[in-house]
Amino acid sequence: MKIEQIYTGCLAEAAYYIESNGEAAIIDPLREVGTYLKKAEKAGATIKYIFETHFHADFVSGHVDLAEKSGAKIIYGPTAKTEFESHIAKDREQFKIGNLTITALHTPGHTLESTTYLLTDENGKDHCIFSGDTLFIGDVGRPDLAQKRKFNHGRFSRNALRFLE
Amino acid sequence: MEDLAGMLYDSLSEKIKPLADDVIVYPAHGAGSACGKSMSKETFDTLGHQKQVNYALKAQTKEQFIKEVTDGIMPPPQYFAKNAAMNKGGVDSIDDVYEKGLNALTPQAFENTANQTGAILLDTRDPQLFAKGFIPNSINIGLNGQFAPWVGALITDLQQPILLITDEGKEQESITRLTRVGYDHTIGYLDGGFERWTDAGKEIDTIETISAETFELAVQDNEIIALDVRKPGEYESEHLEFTLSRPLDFIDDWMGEIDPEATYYIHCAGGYRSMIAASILKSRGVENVIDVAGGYGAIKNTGLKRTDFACPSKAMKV
Repeated sequence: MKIEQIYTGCLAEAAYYIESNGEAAIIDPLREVGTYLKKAEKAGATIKYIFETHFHADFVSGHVDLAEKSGAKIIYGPTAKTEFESHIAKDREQFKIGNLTITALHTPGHTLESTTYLLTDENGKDHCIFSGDTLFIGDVGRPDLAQKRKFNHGRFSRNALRFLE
Repeated sequence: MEDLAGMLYDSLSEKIKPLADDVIVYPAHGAGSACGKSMSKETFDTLGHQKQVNYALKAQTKEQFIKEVTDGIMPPPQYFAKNAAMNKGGVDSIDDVYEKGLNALTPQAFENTANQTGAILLDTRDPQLFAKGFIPNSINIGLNGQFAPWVGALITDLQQPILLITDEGKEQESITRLTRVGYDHTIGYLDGGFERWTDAGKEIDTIETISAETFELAVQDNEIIALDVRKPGEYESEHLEFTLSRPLDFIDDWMGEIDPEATYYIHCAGGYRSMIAASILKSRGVENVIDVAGGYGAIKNTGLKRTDFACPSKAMKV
């Protein structure tokens, strides 16, 4: 079992590389996906899943690019709607990465689709959670963004229209 | 917001807290992220320890949780809703972004492209290096800081064409860090960096930057206007008695009150944000902007009078 935190200081963002028995998964990848592809290639592992803890607001994730380049499946939590191909997990749905099990725990609050991924090791013991913006070290995710989006959406649409004109 | 906060309380109580204490918590962010308000420096911990120290997990009732979690949240930066929409909809491959952006331009071509496209001139060099000489109207947001979040907070149009001035060899890193927050329209960079621009005899601009000691002398001799561009919370916790709180985060809101004929001294915490603010003021026609190098960290070592309480008449309402 390998779990690596890939921390980017500029955004204070952590992506994760998980690997077991020739299979790998990436949690919340950044836009430049070459790093993850190289890691998996070096280990001779196939990236099977890309887990997104929620629709990030503070950075653009590389999930679509990474899925195209690796053939991995994109997983979001319950209630998420995407305009690209993805698998929307049910609450407590399980996924296998080699000998490891990931269980999707729907944890709405920061946003409605926010999901925590629980990793259980090869012996069936709960090892860690990838908590996204639901639980931080010393804090929790701000609960105002999902609401604000409604307000800002109009502005975004207008900008998009202006761009088309 | 209270509804979602209540939902978050239930999620934590029902799904997270029942897990074993030795389970490791791997979050998506650490200190400095605008997704929370008081994150620790550590980037992971055990759930058991978090139950003991995390204020949100310690809250005894839902009401208390909601109150503490919603208290004192800064408004989100403008790019948040836009990035969320991009994450739902999908974006260009990063390879296409590089192809468009890694376009080496001679000083003349750079100048022509700038004039034709109205691109923003973004200089990603160190603030102190920038101050010594830069292309007129360029904005400094250094790579050596929270580059992407500041780009996101300050450049409101994500479709804005961008021309880069970087340290040599930092073009690709600059483009990568722009795309991380959805700025995919870099259309070129100054080949060979700023030196080529001066070699070509092109016009340059500078920003006066002074030490905290010189700042102290200036204050003793004259009536001056000094702007503290740190976040409201930083200002409230401690600031100089005579400075005005004008957070960089809200520069568009206070730009209107700036008198182009006046002289402004600007400081932040360490000198990164003050140069961003100074370059923006300069680009908008304010000629006399003076940066205090080293920011509040250096100012603290002078004899200038500090206060540790908020002065509501001076603090901007946000």
